Order: sequence, then C-alpha cells, then structure tokens
Amino acid sequence: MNIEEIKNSIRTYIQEHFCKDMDVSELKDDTPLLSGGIIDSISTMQVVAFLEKTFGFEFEAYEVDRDNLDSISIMADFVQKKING
Amino acid sequence: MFQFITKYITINDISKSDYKPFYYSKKSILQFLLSFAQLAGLFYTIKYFDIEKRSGIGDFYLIILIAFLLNSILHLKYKLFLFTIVSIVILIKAFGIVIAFSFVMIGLTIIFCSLLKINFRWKIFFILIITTFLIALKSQIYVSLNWTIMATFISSMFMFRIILFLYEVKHGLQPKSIIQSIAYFFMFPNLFFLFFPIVDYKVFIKTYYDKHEHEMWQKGIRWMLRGIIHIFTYRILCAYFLISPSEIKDVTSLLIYLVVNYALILRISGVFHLVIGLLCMFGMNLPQTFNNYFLATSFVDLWRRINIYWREFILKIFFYPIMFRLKKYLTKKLLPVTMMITFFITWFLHCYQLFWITGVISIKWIDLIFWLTVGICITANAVTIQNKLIKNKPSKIKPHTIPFYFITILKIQGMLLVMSILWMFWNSQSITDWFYFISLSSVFSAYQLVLILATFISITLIGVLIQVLLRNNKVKGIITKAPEKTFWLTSSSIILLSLFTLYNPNNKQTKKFKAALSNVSPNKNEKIVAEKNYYSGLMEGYDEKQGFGLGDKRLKKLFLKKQKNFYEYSDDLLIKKIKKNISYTDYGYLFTSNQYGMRDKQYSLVKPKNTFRIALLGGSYEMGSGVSDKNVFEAIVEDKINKNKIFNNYENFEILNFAVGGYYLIQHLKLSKEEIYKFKPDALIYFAHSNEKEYLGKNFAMIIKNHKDLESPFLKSISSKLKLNSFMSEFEIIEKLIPYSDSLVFWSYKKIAEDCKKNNCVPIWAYLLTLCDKFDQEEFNSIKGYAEKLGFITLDLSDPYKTDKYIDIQVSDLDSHPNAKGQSQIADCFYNQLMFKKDSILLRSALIKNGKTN
Repeated sequence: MNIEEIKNSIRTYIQEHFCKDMDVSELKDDTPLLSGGIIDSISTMQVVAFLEKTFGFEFEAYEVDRDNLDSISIMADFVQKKING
Repeated sequence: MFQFITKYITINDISKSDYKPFYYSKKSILQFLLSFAQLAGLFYTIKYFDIEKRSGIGDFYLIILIAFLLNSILHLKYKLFLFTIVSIVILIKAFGIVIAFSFVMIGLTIIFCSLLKINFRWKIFFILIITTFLIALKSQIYVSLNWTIMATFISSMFMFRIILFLYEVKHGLQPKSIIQSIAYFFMFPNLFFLFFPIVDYKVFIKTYYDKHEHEMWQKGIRWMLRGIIHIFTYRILCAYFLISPSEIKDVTSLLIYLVVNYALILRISGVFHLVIGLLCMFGMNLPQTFNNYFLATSFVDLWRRINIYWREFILKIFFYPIMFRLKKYLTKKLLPVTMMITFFITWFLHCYQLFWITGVISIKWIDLIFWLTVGICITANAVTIQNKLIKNKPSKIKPHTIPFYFITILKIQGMLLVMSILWMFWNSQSITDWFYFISLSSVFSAYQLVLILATFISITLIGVLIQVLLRNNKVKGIITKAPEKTFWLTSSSIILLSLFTLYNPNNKQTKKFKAALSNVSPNKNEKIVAEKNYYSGLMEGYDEKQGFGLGDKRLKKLFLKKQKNFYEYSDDLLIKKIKKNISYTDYGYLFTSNQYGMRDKQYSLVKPKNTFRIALLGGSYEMGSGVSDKNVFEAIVEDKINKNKIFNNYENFEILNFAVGGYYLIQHLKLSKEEIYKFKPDALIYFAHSNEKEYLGKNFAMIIKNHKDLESPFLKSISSKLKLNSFMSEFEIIEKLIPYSDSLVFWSYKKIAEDCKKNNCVPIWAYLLTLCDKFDQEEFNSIKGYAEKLGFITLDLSDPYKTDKYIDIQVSDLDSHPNAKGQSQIADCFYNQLMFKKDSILLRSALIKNGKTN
C-alpha cells in the first residue's frame, strides 16, 4: 500500500466521522486534527481502532500522541512506518 | 575544562538553524524594544494592583525584566542555561545561599537518577528514596521549618513533571543536553506559583523557539494580559457579587452564589495564563491552558476546555496506558471502565497535589463523590458520543442554523448550572450544608421567577445573536487574529491599564472600583468561606508553614523560629485557653503570658493600693494576634496612662487583658463568671466588634457542632426550641438563630452588667471596627442602645484607622488582624475614648464604692 492510498483511506474515514459540522474541502492533509479540535481524546481511540483494523498493526499506548496522529499526512507516515516494521 | 562545562550548559544540536537574535535587523530591534516596553507595562500593572501579591512575582519584576533582556541578547544555545540561572538567583534571593544550594542539589540528584543508564525500576527505586526523604521534610520530623518550606518548593517543581519526564525517557526521548532537563524542572515562574500547570516534557522541548521570537513575545504578552484581566474579573466578582453562604436565603441568592462561586476559577486560569505567557517570553511556545471553559456545551466539551495540561497529563500517563492494558480483556465496557478508573486516579492525584503543596493529607468523601460524579457524567457523555461515532448517525439539527445556535446556548447555560451545583458540592464544608442550600431553591417569589426567566431569555437571545455574528468570516477573523497582528490592541490595553493607575478618582463608585481591582476590599472576612475551596487552598495554603508564596511578608520571619502553639484546649465552652507562663517567638513576634494565662505582664491577684484596675474582655484583636507583646493596643494604652499619670488620684493604672483569640460573648460570660472578679477590678471593658450578632450566631453554631454543653439555661432553651443538633448544617443553625440574635446579644450584655453590679465594678462597652468587616450603622446603633440601656459606659472605636488601604495595617494579605501600625492606631483611638469618658468612669466607680449606685 503506498502513502497516497493510506492517506485516501484515512481521509475518507475522517470526513465521514468527524467532519459533519465542517466543509469537507477544508480538510487538507496537513489540517491539525488533534490540536485543531477536530478529533478529541475519546474519538482518538476510535481513530486508533480504525487504523489498527484497516492496516493490520497494533498501537502502543505511548504512540497515541500528536506526533503520530495530528494530521492525515502524519498519520499516513506513521502507518507506513508501522507496516514496514 | 571550558569545553566540558560548555557541553552541559548549551544545546548545540538543536534543530533551530534559522534562529537569529533580534539585533540582526532594525525591524527586529524595534520589535524587541516594543515587546520589552509591553512587558515592563504589564509588570508595572502587576506591581501596582498587587496581582497575586503573595506569589512575590511583583517583587522580582526587575530580575525578570533583566533576564528577558539577557535572554533576547544571548545566543540560542545559552538561553536555557540563563533560564536556569534566573531560578537559582531567585532561590538565593528568597531563601539564602544554604537553602538554595541544598534545593539545587536535591533537584539535580533527582534529575541525574532519572537519566542514569540503569534499569527503569532502579530509577524508580532511587526516586522513591528521595521522595521518602522529602515526605520526612514535609512532615517536619526532626527538621527545622526552613527544610519543610524548601521541600514544598521542590515538590511543586517535581511532583508531576518527574512522572512525565520518566515516561518520555522510558519511551526513548533523551534530552539533547542536560540543561534541557534542568531547565524543564527549574522553571522560575514555578517559584512564584506553587500551583503550576503540568507542562509536558515533550511539548516543552518541541516548542522551544519553534517560532519567530516576535510571534512568541506577542503571544506571551497577550496571555499575560489575558491573565491579568481574568484576575481583575475575579476581583470584581469578589468585591461586587460574591456573597457568603450565610447570605443564601432564596433561589435568587442561591443562583448568584452558584454561578459566582464557579466563576472564581477565573483566578486559576488568570494565574496559568500569566505563567504560560511568561514562559513564552523566554521562548517556550507552549499551548493554551484553558479554552473558554464557560462555553462548554457538554461534559466532554468541558473536559476538553478546562485545565488542558492536566487533561493531557492524565490521558498520556493513565488513560491510554490503562485502556491499552484493558482492551485485551474488555471490549464493550472498555471506555466506561477506563474512564472511571481514570477519574478515581484524578481524585487521588488531587489529594497527592494537595499534600505536596500544602502539607495537608485530606481524604474526604466529598472529594471522592465529586470526582466520581464528574467521572460518571463525562463517561456517560463520552459513551453517547462513541456510540454516535460507531453508528455514524447524522446530526438531527443542521449546524450553523438558528435552531442549532439556540440549542448550543441552552446547552451552555445548562452546563454552567450543573457544573456550578457540582462545584458548590465540592466546596461545601459538609454534604448537609450543600443539601440545605440546594433546598433553598424552593424559596422564591413570583417577582424572582419572572426575573430569573427574563435573565434566561435575555442570555439565550444574546447568545444566539453572538453566534450569528460569528458566522460572518470578517468578525471571526478579527477575534481569531494571531497575537502579533493585534500588537496595537494589546499595547493600547496595557497603556490604558497603566494610565488608570495614575487616575485618582473623586467619585465614590470609581474609587470603589479601583479598590476592588487592587483587592482592597474591606469586607473580606465574611466572604472568606465563600472563596475557600480546593484551589484557593493550593494557591494560598491551608497551613502558612507549608503553602505560601515568595511574596509573603512572613517568609523571612518563618525562617527564624519554628511556630509554637500557645493555646491549650479545654473540653468546656471556652474550647481553648492561653497557656500559663509562656514566652514564645512566633513568626518573629514575641508572645508572653502571665501566671494566670493572660497575654499580659505579671499582676498580683490582690489589687495593689491606690490602683485603678480594669479587666478587658475581647477576642483576637484585643489579644494582639500577629504582633509582639509591646505592640498590643491594650499594653500601649496602659503604659501611656501610667506615664502621663492621668487617672486622677490613682498612682497606678492596670488593664488586665483577658482577651483570647476566638472568644465571643458566650466565652466571655463564662470567663467573667469564673475568673475575672477574683482580681477585684474597678471596671470591666467588654469589646464588641463589627458584625457582633453574626459572630455570636457562628459561635453558637460552632458550640452545637462540637457537642459542647451550653451550660446556661437560657442558651439551652433556645437550642431546644429550635431543635438544634450537631448533625445540622452550620449554616442552617446560624439561619435558625437569626431571629434570636437580638435577644441573645441583649441577654449576654445583661449578664455581664449583672455580674459587674454584683462585684462593684463599672461596666464599660467598647465597639471596635475590625479590618475585615464593613461598618453597619444600624447594628451599631442597636447594640450600643442595649449597652446604654443596661448601664454600660460606652466607647466608640468605630473609626480607628487612619488609612483606607487596610493592607498596610494588616498582619499580611491573608491575615486581616491589625499589625503593629494598626494596633497603634487602635491604641490612639482607645486612649482618646478613655480620656473622654474618664470622668464618668471615675465618678461611677466612686459612687459604687460609696454604695450609692451602679
């Protein structure tokens, strides 16, 4: 799976679940999701479950962090790193 | 050698390659100068208005300004070293070199233990050993007080940050230089504010100079200004709107109490903004700590907005790790179980924090119930959100429509009310108190209902209107403008605040407003109960020995001697007595008692010949709480009269000071019955104070709550008529006693007068205005009337102070007893009043002795 495919998959999920109150076109790859308040601490766990299920890897608790989840690009990079071991 | 030192004090490999000091361009120099001027303006305001005076931040403004200047000039790699040095300079200035050195050594030992390349469990083991040592220091076992104080400051710096630091080090985030770790712990604003935001180590490192200096300075200035505005709002609320619990009578006063009390959290957000703003000025571009928490629309939203650093800490260290551990065993109930465990930990951490800062170990049901209730509410809310997410249900109401705005504002008001009620519960002295106050919501009139409804509708409509306005991108753009783009707005606000300090209002209302901003509110005491809560305890300390700020007047005195208790406790109505024959130095002042347990010099039981002897009954003001023996107004007046020989034919004049802190009429009656007349006084002065009736009611309630025998049949009859018992709320007892307050005062005065008559003694009644109460003309007339009717000679000390700025004549900003200057002013007034009534007193005494009258 290449990085663009990962990004597309994540984008679709975010748009469907977290962008009901906003214009979908506003969601860019570098839009801050956690620091921008689009995803909060509780929904973070939903995103984690989605990423684990879709891409087949497991998160460690300390990886649930802005450094790995704050935007679509960051998430995609993290996922690719995890998949590639 | 130089290279070796440089290696540890610099951060060479930091990835801020584009950093350039401000003096590289003319524009940057101008930006620096303007930011410096803004910061100086803010500190001028802080100093002038005594913003968080007790913290000492205003006293150290010069050091901070110089540090800011040097920090801006220095190369990036030396900045953190300077930042640490500032902490050490403040430590030395506040505590002296020995304590400061020990402080730094203990701190460094903890940091080095955390960084040792050994098994993580061994690190924990070593840190626990140091923790045990700190606990021993905190509990003052075998150590002097200065070590306890030092332990408080170290604890405040390390209690949470060490957890985050260890967590990050464990997961591979190694500091690039040791100075990064040291600076993380030794943040100098923490020395001013023991209750400090939990700054995340990773965020601290990542955000350090991650933006252009000018942007960070402007952000820092804006936040500091916002902090000051929050604190001003808090002060205005305290001065104009805050009511004491005893003033809650019906639904309107209950609502005011609820909302205003909850709004007092503004002080915390104000302080946190000040702290984070100040850190921004030194390149730590940290995120916001509070985000418009009064606008929360749900519990989860509130959890998102209030004390954000705390939430992030809890999530990182507890919530996610617990959830990941439990997810193997639980699937459906994973979220609620994790959240409830997390809130249990939150409760525990509040106790943990309280202990390290104030030295108080407080495990209270009320706290546990509060945190678990909040936990249940947030969990229920979170589960609903989670279910919606899973089902991916669309919202019934379209966002950004009028109905959506209506619902939003209704949710905000609902949350505000619910949180205010919960907040009140948390800060109630007992659950019975809380139930009693909530039950008063059923007391209302039609007018009050209409008023509440009208307020509610107005707020709703205004709320909707604001949201409609915010829909406009232009309006939204103005509000969300970056700090560096609102430079002139911020600067104008600082200039206006500075100009306001120069303005000397003649108008009474404006004067009052300025006094409120300066926290010079004369009616502090009655509100103290209302202001008292978990956070005020953290910010001011329950125990002055452990929790206080660098600005506390007592700090240096605290280092002189260990505090000693000069009371002994008794099982009867007196509750406590002054120990006999003691001489203690407490907080640097001398407290001496004689062989009879009076705070006075030695007197013989038998009155010497040619002596006019007066017995004085009073409370803490007359006892001289917070001042040395020689400064007590009673002693000053006695000496002055003896020196001037102005009590006619008497060679000697004595005032026997029977005053004891915490004594009110009920204790005075017992004292006069059992102790005073064996000294054969010629006169007895009873000192009444402002709020006489209210204090009598509180004292009565305290006796009931402490299961003491009321002894007098009259008091017992009132108690049984009102069915008072120790299970009732203290406020309920006080409320029930209000209709009896006049008869209680009258009865007490009558008893004093009767005892005087029996013992051939002239009864004198003196009224003294305290520094913490407002003068109430109506009450003064009423109690003075009783005294005159019962044959007392009256002395009026209702205006003894020669200043409006009471803070100058108080022991400290938290202790409103008069200091030496205040006692001296009372002495002048008392002396003048005695001289004015001298002839009446002597005449009456002569008549009594000749058996003619009383």
